[in-house]
Amino acid sequence: MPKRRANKRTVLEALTNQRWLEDIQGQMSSDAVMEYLVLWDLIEGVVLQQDSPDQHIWRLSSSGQYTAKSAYDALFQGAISFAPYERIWKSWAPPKCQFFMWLVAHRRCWTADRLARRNLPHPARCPLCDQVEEDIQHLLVGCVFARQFWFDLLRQVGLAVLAPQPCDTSFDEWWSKDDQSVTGDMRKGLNSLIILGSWTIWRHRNDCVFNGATPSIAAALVMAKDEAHLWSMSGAKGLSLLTTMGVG
Amino acid sequence: MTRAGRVVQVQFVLTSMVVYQLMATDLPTWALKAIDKIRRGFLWRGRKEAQGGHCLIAWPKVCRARELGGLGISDLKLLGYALRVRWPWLKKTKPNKPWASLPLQVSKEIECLLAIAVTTTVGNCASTLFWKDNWLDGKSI
Repeated sequence: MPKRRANKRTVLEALTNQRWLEDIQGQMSSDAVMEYLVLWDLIEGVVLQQDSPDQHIWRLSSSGQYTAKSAYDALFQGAISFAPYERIWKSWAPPKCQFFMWLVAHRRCWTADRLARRNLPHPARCPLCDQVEEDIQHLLVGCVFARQFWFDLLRQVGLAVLAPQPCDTSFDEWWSKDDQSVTGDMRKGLNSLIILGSWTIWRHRNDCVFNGATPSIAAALVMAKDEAHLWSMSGAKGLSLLTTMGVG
Repeated sequence: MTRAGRVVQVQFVLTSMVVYQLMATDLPTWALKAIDKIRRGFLWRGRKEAQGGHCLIAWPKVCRARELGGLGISDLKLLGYALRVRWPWLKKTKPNKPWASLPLQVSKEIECLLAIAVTTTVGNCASTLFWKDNWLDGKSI
C-alpha cells in the first residue's frame, strides 16, 4: 500500500464505493488474505452517520481532551516507581529535610564510606559510636547511638516498640516496616517524626565532625524536641497528634 | 537558599522560561544540553557552572517525577514532545483553524505518541484516516 495515500485517505473516502480496495497493491500472502476477509466483515458493519462529526478522544486524560501534563506523564509509562515516595514527599516536614531524605534514599550523603572511596579526608570511624566505619545505614539505624536515640525519641510518643532492633541494618527496610505498622493520621505523624529523627542524627553527626562537639544523646534529644516544637507550631498536624497522644 | 528552594526555582522559573519555545520549535540537542547545564548548575551550586563532583545525583534521575524517584523537574526533550503533540491533535480536532491546511512537520516520536493517545468514534468519517487512525473498536487496521 503506498504510504502517501495511507496518510491522506479518510474513512469517508475509503468507504464510498469501496475505494479502500484500490489502496491495496501487490500480491497478497495467505495471511494477508485472511486479514483482508476479517477486515471486510468488520467494515460491513460500519454505518456512517452523516449529521454527526467524528469524535476524537485523548485517551490519556480523564476528560478526553489533550493536556500537556497527560502527554508528558504517558512518556514515563512503565518506569519503576520510587518506593519511599509517599513516606518522604507526603509527610509533613520542611522541604530541606525532605530533600535530605531523598538523598538518603538514593544513598548520596557524604558519609565516611563515600568520602573514602574518593580519597577525601574522612573520619576513620563513626563519629557517634567510635566503633565501626561509618555509612548512611549504620549512621541512621545500625549505630548504637542511633538505636538509643530512636528508642528514647519513640518512647516519648509511646511507640518504643518501633525503634530499630540490632537485626535492622537497612534504614529503608526499617522505615517501610514501621510505616506499615500504623495507620491514618498516625502514619503521617510517624513519618514526620522519623524524618525529624534522621535529620537530627545527621545534624548531630555534622556537629561532631565539623564543630568538635561530643556525641551526646541528651543533646540530640533536646535538639529534636526543639525542632519538633517548631514543626508543630508551623502546622505539622500529624506530629502534634503523636506528641499529644504520647503525653496523654 | 536551600537546595529544596532551588528545586522550586529550577522547575518553576528556569523550566517555565523555555516552555514557550519548546511548544513551538524542536530545539536542537545542543541547545537543550546548554539549558540543562544551567539548570543543573543552579540546582546543585546556585550558580551557572557545576563540576561533576558538586552534583550528588545524576541529572536524568533528577529529571523524573517525584513518584519515580526524581525531584519533579521536567525532562526537556520529553516535555518538548508532550507540548508539541498539541499541533497534530488540534489539526485533527479543530480543522477550521486557519493553519490547519498548511503542512505540519512533526517528528516520528510525536506521531507515535499521537497514535497511542487518540481513539476515534466515527460519525461522518470526514476527519478520520482509514489506514492510520484508531477507529475500528478503538484500534487501527
